[in-house]
Amino acid sequence: MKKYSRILGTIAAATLGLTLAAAPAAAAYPDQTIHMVVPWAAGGGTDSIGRGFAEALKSVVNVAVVVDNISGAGGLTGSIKVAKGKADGYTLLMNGDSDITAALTFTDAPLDPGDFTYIGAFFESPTWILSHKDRKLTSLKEFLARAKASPGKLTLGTGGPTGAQMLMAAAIKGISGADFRIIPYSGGGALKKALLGDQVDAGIIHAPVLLPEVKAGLIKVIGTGLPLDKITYAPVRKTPTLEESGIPIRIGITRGIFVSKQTAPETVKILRGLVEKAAKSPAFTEFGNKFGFTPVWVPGPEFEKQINNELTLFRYIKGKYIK
Amino acid sequence: MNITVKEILLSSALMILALAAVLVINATGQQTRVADTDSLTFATLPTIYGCLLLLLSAIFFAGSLRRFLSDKHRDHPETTEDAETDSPSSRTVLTRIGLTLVVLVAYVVLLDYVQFLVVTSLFLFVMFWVFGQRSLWKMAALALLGGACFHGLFIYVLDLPI
Amino acid sequence: MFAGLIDGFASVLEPLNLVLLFAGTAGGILVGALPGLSSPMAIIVLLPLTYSMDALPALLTMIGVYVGTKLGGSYPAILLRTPGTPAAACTALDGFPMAQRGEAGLALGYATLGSTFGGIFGWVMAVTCVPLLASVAVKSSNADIALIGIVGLTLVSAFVRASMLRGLIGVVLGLLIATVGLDPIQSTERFTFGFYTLMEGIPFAAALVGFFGIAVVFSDIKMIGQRSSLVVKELNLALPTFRDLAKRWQCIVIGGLYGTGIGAIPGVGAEASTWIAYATARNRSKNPEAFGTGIPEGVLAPEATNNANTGGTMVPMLTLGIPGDGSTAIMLGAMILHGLQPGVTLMQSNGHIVNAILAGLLVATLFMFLIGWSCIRYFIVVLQQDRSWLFPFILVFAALGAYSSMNSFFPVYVAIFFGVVGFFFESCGIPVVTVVLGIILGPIIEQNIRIALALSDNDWTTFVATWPRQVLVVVIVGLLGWEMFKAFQGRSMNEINTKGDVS
Repeated sequence: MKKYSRILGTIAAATLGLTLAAAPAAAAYPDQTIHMVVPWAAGGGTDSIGRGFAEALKSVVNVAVVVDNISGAGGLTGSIKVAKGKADGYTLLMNGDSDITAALTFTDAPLDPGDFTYIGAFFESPTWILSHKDRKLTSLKEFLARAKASPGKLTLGTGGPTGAQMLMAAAIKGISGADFRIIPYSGGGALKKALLGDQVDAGIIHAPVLLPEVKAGLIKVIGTGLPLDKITYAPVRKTPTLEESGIPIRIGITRGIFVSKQTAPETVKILRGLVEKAAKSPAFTEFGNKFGFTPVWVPGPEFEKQINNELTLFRYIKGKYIK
Repeated sequence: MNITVKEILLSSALMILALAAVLVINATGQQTRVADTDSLTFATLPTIYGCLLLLLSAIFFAGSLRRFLSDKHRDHPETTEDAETDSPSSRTVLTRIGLTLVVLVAYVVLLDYVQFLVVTSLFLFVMFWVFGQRSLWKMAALALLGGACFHGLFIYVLDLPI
Repeated sequence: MFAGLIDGFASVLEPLNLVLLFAGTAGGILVGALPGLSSPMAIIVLLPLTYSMDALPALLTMIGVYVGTKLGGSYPAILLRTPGTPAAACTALDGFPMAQRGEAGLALGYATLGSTFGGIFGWVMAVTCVPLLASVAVKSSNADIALIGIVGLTLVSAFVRASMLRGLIGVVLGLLIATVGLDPIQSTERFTFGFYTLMEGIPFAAALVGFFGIAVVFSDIKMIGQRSSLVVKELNLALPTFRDLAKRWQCIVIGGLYGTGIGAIPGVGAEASTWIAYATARNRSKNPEAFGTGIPEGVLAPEATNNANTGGTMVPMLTLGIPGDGSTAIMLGAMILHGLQPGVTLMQSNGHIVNAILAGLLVATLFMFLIGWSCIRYFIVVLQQDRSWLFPFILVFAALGAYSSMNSFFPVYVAIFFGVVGFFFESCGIPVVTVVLGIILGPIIEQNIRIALALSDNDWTTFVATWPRQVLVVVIVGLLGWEMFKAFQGRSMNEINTKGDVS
């Protein structure tokens, strides 16, 4: 009898010990390096925002946060890698919602918004319509009026043949009925140069690209996809949105953090808290203001709804206005 | 392998490639995603390039074939690439090239499954052997040292997600 | 302008900045010398390390790396025929034959001198002509860039040693390979066969690593075990004198002009500029046939060009906020992360940083010379070891370098594939260089022609609408005409001389 009680006692002690050992391990997340995948080339706008956020996150988690640039297929390669990769909470995806939805609208890729768990979004920037001051355009309505007066003559540039900007351009053209030419440039940098060189009548680009030039008066903002009320440059806050100009579409880009759907719920909860803290931190607020926008916080479930709605919208626009 | 035979093979491969390219790009069912705004379509330039390649490789093929046939009628010296008697036989060279390719592909495939340091050191060791080194201690030492340096550089400093 | 620049030099000469600039340059030379590692890669690694610094020291370190890699890449190109960076691929054409003849020291010396003086030339041009270059950068439109690309194509003949036919085959194949991926205007999938990894086309960096790294290893395996011509050490290490350099000033000027000009026009790409400069130097020389056999001019021209690029790319980066290549794109990102706002207003809001960056560029070039010149003998010793020891290392660098270009295994397989292809091409006399030229220039030409047509509403006369474009068209027609004339002339001679020859 004594032998058994001793064995039982040992087993009980061992179980207790293991439970105690296991519990801290779960509560110790994160204790390894976090890899934040930015599915774009280094040096671009998304990459800069991602790196700024990585710094903020590092100050909140006390482990290293490393940015991996895995570019390709319009952001899909990196996004798919995270969706199908290890779900231990140490590989995050940082991407913009309209980057994913636009890519999915145009490409048949093995990815679905349901493959992710949404941690939250921290940076919202509308897509705005710019024009060189020498074109003497002051509003989107004026652009459309001019286009209707001389059909086939005006040009509207976008940062690529697919993507949120193209969808916005196609929606504007389709809904307004005006006849202008959409010029798909090979990237935001090329469109930026074309705008600075006054080579197109107007261009659609993600805010706050070219904000310094807007401040200097060289470039005018003639329209925007979402309200510009959070931009740090006060004079353009009242720019009429697409909805106010007769085009009932809202388009912008919200950058957020995603993880694989298989990630454990406890990890997700901890991560959401940490990411929210980083997004609201004074360091990141300062970064955002310098970049051009005050950061926001969109909680995970809301962000997921936003993406799904946007995908529906984009597929509708493509089906109706882009042959 | 005689160089002319190699040329014939290459030029025929190019011709087939060119033809395939032109056919594939012009096959019906290639969806355009966005309406075109210019007079050139997505298929214009690939078709031009494909046709040009077809033409040029056909000329190349014809020339090589002619040379091959005319060579048959007169004996030619063994086309050795170097006169020194000290060079390795072409058989060794070919084996080495083949082995290098196989080992290299194996290395890349294994990188996904085996730890970086182990597989890199192993690769270096095997490659030293393929290239003719035989002193096992020296090879092992350099392989391990090399693997460690690569690990330090690429995994530690550059943080490569391998 | 110059008052500001002197302030810039004063900032740079502060101890911390000098040390960082020196370290960056030394690190850049080392990174450049390792095949597969490139400047953007190194700068991206530095980025997080510089967060704790102020903007200026961070940017100076990056400028040092940027300048250093332009020289470092030429060392393995000359000694092993494997360029350390894409920009040095052209240097191997004449550099390697020189090293084989036992003139390694001379070749490396010319590379160092060419890089230095090209860099200085480009710097002077950039600094004095900022307004001119900035307006060229802004006004340049897609039609201009397309024409420049076509000019580059017509110069392919400069790289063909024996048979024009093979050179053309290489170029057209390169052009065809470059069409894989999404069509730039309609976004149709071309030759992707449903693989979304191919959507962005064949990764250029991986193809280069394959052609110039792996293919070279395959081709040179036959050299292992050959009793290599043991050259007297002193001869091998002899360095060129300044008088040797002064005789060849034209190459430096050509390199400097092309490097700065093409670097300043975003969208053309610095890679193409070394080839165009080499070809021009060859066409203008009294002895074009010597190019490719190992003459100093063939090393000076491309090396001067790629360092002049650093001056050229500064102009759009600092005055317009537009990057000219991968490294400057990351530097712009670094500026944003440090709170600067690159763009048209940068000069007004942060003028002293702009001036300091420009000053730092010159100082980095001088450091590059000092470090490079004094380390030549060490590089020779290391890189001229038995190939059976070196090649496995080169293969690992190639594989990992290809991997890090996209952080996935796909480019590695691409590199291996092109390694095999390149090997077969070289053994059949098709110069791999021409395929690379096609791959580089193909997308530039197609994208810009089609956007130009879209802008002009399908009006082809847009290509002769302005005087720069007319000049370019004349150059193209002239070059083509001259090539055909030479071909006819050469043909009648060749038919007498080389009957039945395997060329």
